[in-house]
Amino acid sequence: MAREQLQTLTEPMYYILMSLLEECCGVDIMEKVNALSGGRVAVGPGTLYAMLARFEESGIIRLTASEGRRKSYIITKEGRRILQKEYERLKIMVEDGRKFLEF
Amino acid sequence: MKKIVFKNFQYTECDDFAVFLRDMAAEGWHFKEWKLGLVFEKGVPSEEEYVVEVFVHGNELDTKPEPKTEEFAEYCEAAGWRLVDAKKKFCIFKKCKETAVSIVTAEERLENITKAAMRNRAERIFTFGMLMVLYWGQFLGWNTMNYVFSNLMLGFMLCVNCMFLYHVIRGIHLYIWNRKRKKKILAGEKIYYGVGNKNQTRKDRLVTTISLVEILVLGGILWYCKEYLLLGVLGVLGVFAAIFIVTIRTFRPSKAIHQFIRFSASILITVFTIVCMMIAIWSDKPLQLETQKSVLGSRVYHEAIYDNPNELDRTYTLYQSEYDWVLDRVWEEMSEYFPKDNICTEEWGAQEALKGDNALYLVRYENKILFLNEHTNLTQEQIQVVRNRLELR
Repeated sequence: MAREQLQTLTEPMYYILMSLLEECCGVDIMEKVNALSGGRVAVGPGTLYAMLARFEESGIIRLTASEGRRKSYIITKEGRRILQKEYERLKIMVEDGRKFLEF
Repeated sequence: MKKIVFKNFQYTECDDFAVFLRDMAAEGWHFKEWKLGLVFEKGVPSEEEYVVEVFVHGNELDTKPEPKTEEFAEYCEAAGWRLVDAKKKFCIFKKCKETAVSIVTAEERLENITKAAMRNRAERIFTFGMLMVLYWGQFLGWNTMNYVFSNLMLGFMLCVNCMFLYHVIRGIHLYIWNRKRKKKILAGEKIYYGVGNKNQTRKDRLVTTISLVEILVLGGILWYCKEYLLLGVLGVLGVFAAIFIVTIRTFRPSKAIHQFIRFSASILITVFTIVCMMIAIWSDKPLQLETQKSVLGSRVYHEAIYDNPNELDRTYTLYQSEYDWVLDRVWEEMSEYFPKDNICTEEWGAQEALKGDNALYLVRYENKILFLNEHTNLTQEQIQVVRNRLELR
């Protein structure tokens, strides 16, 4: 997975990376994303499994522990940079929209 | 109480598969595992929700859940789907929480299914493509005559070409199928992966019929061509393959062991085939007359062995065909061994005739080519005798 494709994050990607700002077991990420998004974003297990593999391959997250089938991950520096960049981009979008959409 | 159901679903029919499992559960037959076939256990009829997913990290050699599948299953169980069993790239999940979310998005599901199905198709296209190249290479190149005058080899070539074409068409169909479904997903439609249960039964019968017809056609070609040894060898290999498949499906070894067994089996098959070929060659009596016939023509080889051991053998090969291109090919191949300037067309009254060293002759008539190996140069009378006997006009 080319890193360039991860420069703009989808909503599930964004929330998954946010949930990995602290070390977290892979299977608990779905609940965490649900909680962080106030129930708005639901990530399916298949989607999550594939994304974690891509993130790990791209160096955006790293494996911290592995107990049997259960693996824990945490975001890397590069992952934080991408997440921060996405956050800034979304902020700019909100600000741009504020001028026209809030009457 | 248990029962085994033999049913085959394609990756593109995973919803049909799920519906089948659901319908069986409604009748009290609950899916337990894959073992030879689908194993169901008798219980209370209930409404169970199943979902059959295609796990792209699975492998065609997986006979049971491998570590990656089990890891994937952990995530799914946390989301409310318990893995019942897995085989190849299929994973069968049963809903265990009312709040279970979809395992993958619609786009991901289509991508997973298409990738798995396309890979299978590509492997078959590649296999038959390579066989086709091999056969055509021999037919057009270094082994033309063994193909042209053999109905068996022509039959094999035809089968391989048809299978290649069939898989290419199926590949194109799959590509169009994928494009259509992508458009539907973009339009917000829900996709059902399957042909419907009524059509499944019809499809199963069709597939079984086609498989039987293929076996009968192959057996028929071999019987017609009197290749009884080959028929016997293929029969033995077929039995061996059936035992192998039943063993793998029953004992479900890990992928690594499965790969090892397959590799060993392929070595054994190769050794067995070579041994059979050696037996066939060693047990062959020297033939004085051999005829090969096919739909494209015939080749007759005659070896005249005299009682007098001091006499050298005289041999000839007579090629006959209604097709000019066949005779052109024969002529092209055979005339390589003749000097181009030693022409004896007039002596033979032929279209073309060449004479080589040591009384070798290559003579062409309208539908025939004669390759003659004499021990002395022929006189005009002897040439006439040969022409009369072999009806060379």
